Amino acid sequence: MLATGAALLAAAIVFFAVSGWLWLSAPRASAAAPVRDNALRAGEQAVLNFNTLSYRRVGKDLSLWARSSTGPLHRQVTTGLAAFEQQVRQARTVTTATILDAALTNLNIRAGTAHIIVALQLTVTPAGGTAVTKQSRLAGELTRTAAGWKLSQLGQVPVQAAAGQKPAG
Amino acid sequence: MAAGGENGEDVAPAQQPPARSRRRHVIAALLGAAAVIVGSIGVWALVAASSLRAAAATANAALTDRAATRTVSRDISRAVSTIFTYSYADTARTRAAAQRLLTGAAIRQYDQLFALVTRQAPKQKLTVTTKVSSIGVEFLTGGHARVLVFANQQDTRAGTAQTSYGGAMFAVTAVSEHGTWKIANIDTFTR
Repeated sequence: MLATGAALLAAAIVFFAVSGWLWLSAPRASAAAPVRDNALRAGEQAVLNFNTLSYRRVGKDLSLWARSSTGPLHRQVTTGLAAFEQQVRQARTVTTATILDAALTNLNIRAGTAHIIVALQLTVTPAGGTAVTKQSRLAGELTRTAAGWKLSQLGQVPVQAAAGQKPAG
Repeated sequence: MAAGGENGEDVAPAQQPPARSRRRHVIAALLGAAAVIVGSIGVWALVAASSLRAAAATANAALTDRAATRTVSRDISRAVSTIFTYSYADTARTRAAAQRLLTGAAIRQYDQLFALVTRQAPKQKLTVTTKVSSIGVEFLTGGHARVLVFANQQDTRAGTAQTSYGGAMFAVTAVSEHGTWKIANIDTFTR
């Protein structure tokens, strides 16, 4: 009986060792994955905000621009805001956007920065005119702030790379 | 067992003190219980390990696995510039190179597109050079990836020496075959 018990325990220990090793060596979910997903989601929303503007609620739209940005882009948005608001009201245009696709081109969690590229479809409706739809290639820089990821730079990707310019991404 | 003491030959168990026999029973029971506990933990570890593996097999490794992300970005950048770079003088060369870089639905998509090129490029004496300006991996698991690509094209017409520039954006579905990433589908966002 003792021998049977000892044999059972030995077999259990061997089984435990094998399954324990399998558990230890199994791949673990990356802690970076949720950070990446957050940055991409926030970046998409910020780019969408920056391409949504109606003369009917320009104040509200522009305050959303300010809230979606940080750093250099935020400074750009907040300087000369009143003059820009005036322009939009006079032009009476409505701009809406749809994200066709978006991806991060890099992510530096320690530095709290990421780069995003966005394939965007823009619809611009001028005062009394018909809507024009066009596609746009955008690249932006995201910076992590206390209030989440925000856009610190945003621009169109040029079709002709300037001489000596390093390609983005 | 103790009753066996009446049989003259089997005296040993009878001589064993009852306390010692009881202790043996207790130890055997403890060993058995320990085996059950250790075995149960083993079963739990086995189940946990297999669910971890299942989760990892479908998890998105874009940017979190830097080496794999770099590899798919590099392979798809090269593939895109190769299949969309051609000279009117030798369109067959590009088409042949493309066969090694395409798979699945992309072969048919490319053939349709390139049939147009083969017809028109020689007439226009057209040379097109394509370079990827930005590339971002959206999704990456073991053998599948979705990549967003911005490409720049430089078109030159030999006859007029005119050069024009154009930009394209599309999403590529990529699959890994024999260690290299191939283009399986091209989504140009036309709806």
